[in-house]
Amino acid sequence: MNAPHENSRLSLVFTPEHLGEALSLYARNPGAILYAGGTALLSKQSERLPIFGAPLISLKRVEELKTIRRYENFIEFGAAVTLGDILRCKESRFLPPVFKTAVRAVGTPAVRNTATIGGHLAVTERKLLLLPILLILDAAVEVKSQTTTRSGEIKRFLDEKNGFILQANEIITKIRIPTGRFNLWGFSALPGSVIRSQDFFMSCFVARKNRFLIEKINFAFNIDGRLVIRIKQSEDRLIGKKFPLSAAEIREEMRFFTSKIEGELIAPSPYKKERIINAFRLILTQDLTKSGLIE
Amino acid sequence: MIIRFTLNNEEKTVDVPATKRVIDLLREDFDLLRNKVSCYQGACGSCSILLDNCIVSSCSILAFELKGRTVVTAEGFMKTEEYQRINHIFQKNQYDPCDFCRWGKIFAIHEFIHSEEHIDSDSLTRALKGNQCNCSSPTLLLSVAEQIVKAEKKINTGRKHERTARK
Ligand SMILES: Cc1cc2nc3c(=O)[nH]c(=O)nc-3n(C[C@H](O)[C@H](O)[C@H](O)COP(=O)(O)OP(=O)(O)OC[C@H]3O[C@@H](n4cnc5c(N)ncnc54)[C@H](O)[C@@H]3O)c2cc1C
Ligand code: FES
Ligand code: FES
Repeated sequence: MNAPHENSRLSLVFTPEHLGEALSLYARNPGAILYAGGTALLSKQSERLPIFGAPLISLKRVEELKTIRRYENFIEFGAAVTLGDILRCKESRFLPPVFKTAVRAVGTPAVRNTATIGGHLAVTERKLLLLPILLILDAAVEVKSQTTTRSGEIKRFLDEKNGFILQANEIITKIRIPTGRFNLWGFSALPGSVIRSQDFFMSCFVARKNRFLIEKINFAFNIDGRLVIRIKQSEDRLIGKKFPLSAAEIREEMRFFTSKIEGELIAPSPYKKERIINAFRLILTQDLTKSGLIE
Repeated sequence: MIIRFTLNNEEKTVDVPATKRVIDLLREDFDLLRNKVSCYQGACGSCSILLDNCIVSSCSILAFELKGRTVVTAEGFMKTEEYQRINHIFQKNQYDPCDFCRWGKIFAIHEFIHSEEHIDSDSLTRALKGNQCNCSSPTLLLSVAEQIVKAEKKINTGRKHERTARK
């Protein structure tokens, strides 16, 4: 096991190289901070010499968290894979285009070369750009503690406000992204995907269309980086419908969606509500004949 | 914490606080002052370096993360032929960014050259995002970057062909 490195001011830093080591360190140091890319953790530090007030467990050297594997129906990323490596890896050409487009929209190249996919999911203060995308793709996660393993679709790990919930001493270990399930997609982020902006808004959808019929459609919206909205009943109502929808069908779906949105927004601002409704209209009125980007 | 890493092609060992920011380590412990520091938030690009040949903000990397890795700073990159060619195209276009944004721009272009990205203005704009600069022309930067990337890709393809022919 690696000896911890003691900072002259406070922080101990552990740099485990294997998952078992990381999990046992975390079990023995329950107050420790998991340090992946550190981009979110450092953005809270104003000191030149950051002081964390608790030991750090660095995940970047953990072998099992750095792997990328392609299976028949999904690609599996270790939680410490950086967003930059996701775009560069040879498996990336099999990833859903909506996911790759969204990864490219996160921050800057320097941020993407540092931030990890696991850290991105685990950030609790903000709902980041990739969470809605992973949700609509039905992506799954694996989460481990020294004694337990939980895995399943990401939505099972979210609370009612769509925040990621980890139990004591759990580490996100893998993220599995299904491939080949959808043949249509759209993604739009304003303004320019700057998630810190007060005025951030993003919408995304994926669908599987067989000739004219929609077999599956998922969509989600991220408002101000605070709220991720999915209206499952609206998605279900569209399954089996023939696209393009008729004007009457669009009106009916809009009416239903709007009534659901009224109940969903924590602090309903008419402007933001209007944005979501407009984004939904855009999804419905696409003729959905080809995959691509809605701007 | 004792850290061994490669800095501008030389093996180095330092004993510094594990959570010292790399930009401070470079400037204070190695006297490498060409990379600047401004926001300490990973947002402005002035502290950009290459870590294992990828652009990162060195204010957002902590010393312990350097163990066994390779760092190239402005001083190291200036010794490369690639830099001479980049600088030549900068000069040809009378593009002379200041020291605060210069290295973020150069390293972003370097990373783009070695990526598989298509050369179009969208992907170049995305690659150059992260260099806060309101005082030079973004259009000129795009044009200069495009010229550099095209020229470098040509050189790299030529080298690849040469290697294959020799085999
Ligand atoms: C300049 C800048 C611009 C940005 N722009 C954008 C943007 O445009 N869009 C966007 O969506 N985001 C943006 N971000 C946010 C960025 O995406 C996140 O900070 C990043 O994804 C977090 O990943 P990380 O590996 O750095 O996490 P860290 O900072 O290391 O960790 C974040 C949190 O997750 C926990 N954690 C980390 N890994 C795990 C794990 N495996 N299991 C359990 N818990 C874990 C940590 O303990 C911590 O609480 C930006 C950030 C910066 C600094
Ligand atoms: S000082 Fe590092 S990005 Fe601004
Ligand atoms: S900040 Fe350097 S030229 Fe604008």
